[in-house]
Amino acid sequence: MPMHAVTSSMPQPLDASELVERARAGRADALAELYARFGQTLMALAFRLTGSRADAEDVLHDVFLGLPEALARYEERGSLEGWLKRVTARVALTRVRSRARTREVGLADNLVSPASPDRLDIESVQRAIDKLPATLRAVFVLREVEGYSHSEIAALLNITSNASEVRLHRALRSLRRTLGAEK
Amino acid sequence: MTDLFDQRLRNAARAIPVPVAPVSLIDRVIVERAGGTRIALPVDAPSSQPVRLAVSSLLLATAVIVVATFVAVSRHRSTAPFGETDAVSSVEQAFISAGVLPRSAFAQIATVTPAAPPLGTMNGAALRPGLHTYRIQWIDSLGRTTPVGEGTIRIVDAILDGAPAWRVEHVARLIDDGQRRTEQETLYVTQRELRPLTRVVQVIPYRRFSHITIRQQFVGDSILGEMTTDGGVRRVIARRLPPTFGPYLSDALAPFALEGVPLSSRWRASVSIVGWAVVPNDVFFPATLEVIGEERLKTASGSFACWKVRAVAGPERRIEWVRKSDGVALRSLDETPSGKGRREFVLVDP
Repeated sequence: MPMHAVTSSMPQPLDASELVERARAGRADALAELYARFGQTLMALAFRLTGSRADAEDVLHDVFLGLPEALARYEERGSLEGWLKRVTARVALTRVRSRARTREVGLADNLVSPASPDRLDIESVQRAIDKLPATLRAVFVLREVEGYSHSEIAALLNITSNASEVRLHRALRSLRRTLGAEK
Repeated sequence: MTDLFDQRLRNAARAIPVPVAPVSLIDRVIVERAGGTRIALPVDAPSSQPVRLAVSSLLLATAVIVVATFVAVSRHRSTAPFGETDAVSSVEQAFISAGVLPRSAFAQIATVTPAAPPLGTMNGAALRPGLHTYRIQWIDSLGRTTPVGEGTIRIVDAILDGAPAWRVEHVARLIDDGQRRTEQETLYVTQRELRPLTRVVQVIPYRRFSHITIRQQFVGDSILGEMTTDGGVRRVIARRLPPTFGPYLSDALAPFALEGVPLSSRWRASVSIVGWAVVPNDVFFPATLEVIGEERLKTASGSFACWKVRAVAGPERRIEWVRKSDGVALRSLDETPSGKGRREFVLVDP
C-alpha cells in the first residue's frame, strides 16, 4: 500500500493557529486538545509558583475556563506555550497574593518527577524553597526554574528589573543559608 | 564555589516533582463553560492596545449611558433570563446598571426563549455620524410636565483594532429621586452589524458612591471587564450572552437601532439590552418590539410620519415613535403610567 494512502487516512493533528481559532470559538474539543498539549507544563508552573497542589489545580481550572475569551488577546506572534505560561503565571501569582497559602509537602504519590540527579538534594531544596517568602519564591522559580529574564519577571510581577534582580539575590542567599545549615 | 552551588540548586529545583494535571479537570471546565460560567483572565495587552486604551479612557470622559428610547427595556432590567441562581449580597445589589428610569432589577423574568424572532436586519450602514440631543420628562395625569434630564448622543466614524467601527458617545444629566447625576458611555460597535465591541460607562455620583465605572469588552459570546468605584472597590465582569437572545444592544445606541430596518405593519422582533453584568441579574434584558400602528408626530422640528412600535420588557410597556424615513426613534412614552405619571423621551433635534 502506498504510504500516502496510509497517512491521508489518519487524523492530522491541528496546527497551533487552527487550534487557537477553534478554542477562541469555545469548542470543547479544542480546549481538551490544548489541555492535552500544555496542561502538564502549566500545572508544573502553577505548582512551582503556588507551592500547593490544590492551588495549582485551581489555577489550571481558571486558566482553561477563561481561555476562549482570553485568546482574543493572543496575537500569535510568540509561541502559544509561552503565552499560556505567562497567563498561568499571572493567575498563579494573583492567587498567591490573594490568599494565605497552605503549604503542602510535595513529595507525595502521583507526582511527576523530571530526571532526578539527586533525590535527597531535591527534597532539601524543596523544603528550602517552601520556606522562602512568596515574593522571593516567585522570582526564584520564574528565573532559575522557568528561565524567564528579569525584564519578563518585572512585567509579570509589576516590579522593576532591578527589584527582580535584588529579590533573586535575596532568594539565593536565603537558600544557600538554609541548605548550608542543613548540611 | 557559589556558582557551582547555584547550578546544583537550579538543577535540583528543576527536578522537584510536580503533580499530574488531572484528566478530570478539563472535563469539569468544559461542563462549566457549557453551563455559561465565564472568567476573565489577566492577559497581556495586545501590542497596539495601550494607545487605544488610553484614547478610550479619555473618551470615556465624554461617553454616555442610559437610556433613551427603549427605556422600557432598561427600566425593567430583569436579569439573565434562565434562572441564574448566583446569590447576590446586599452590597453587590448596589452594582446594578443605572439609567434614566428607576430600576426594578430584581424582579426577575423567567424567560426561556425570546417572544419574537431576533432582530436580524440591523444595518449599521444606515447610521450617520452626528450629534443628537434629547430630553426626558414626566407627564402627569393632568398633562403637566416635570423635566427629568437631558442628554446628547454623538455618533462618530471610528476605527477600532484596525476595523471600521462606530463610536457612540452618550452623556446624560439626570435628576433621579432628588439626586443629580451624570451618566456617560462610550460605546464601540461594528460598523456593519452594530455588534458591541467595547464600552465604558461612568456614573457620577452613583448611589452612595462618588462614581462608578464599568469597562466591558465583548468577546465571542461573553462580556468581560471590570467595575471600579470608591476606595479601590473592584469587581471582575465575566458573563455569557446566549446567542438565542441576540442581537445585543447598548442603551447608547438604542434610539438608532432601527435605522435601516425595514418596518411594516406586522413587524415584530426581539432584542436584548446589555446591562453592566457585574451581578448575575443585570447581564441583559430581553425586549420585544412590535409595530402597532402608524402616526404623524409633530415636534418643534417638524411633522414626521412614524411607525408606532411597542417595546415590552417584562411588565413594562412603552410606545416608540420611529420615523419612517430613517428608522430613528423620535419619541417614547410609557404605555402604563407609574406613580409619577408617564415618562417621555423626546429627540429634540431629529
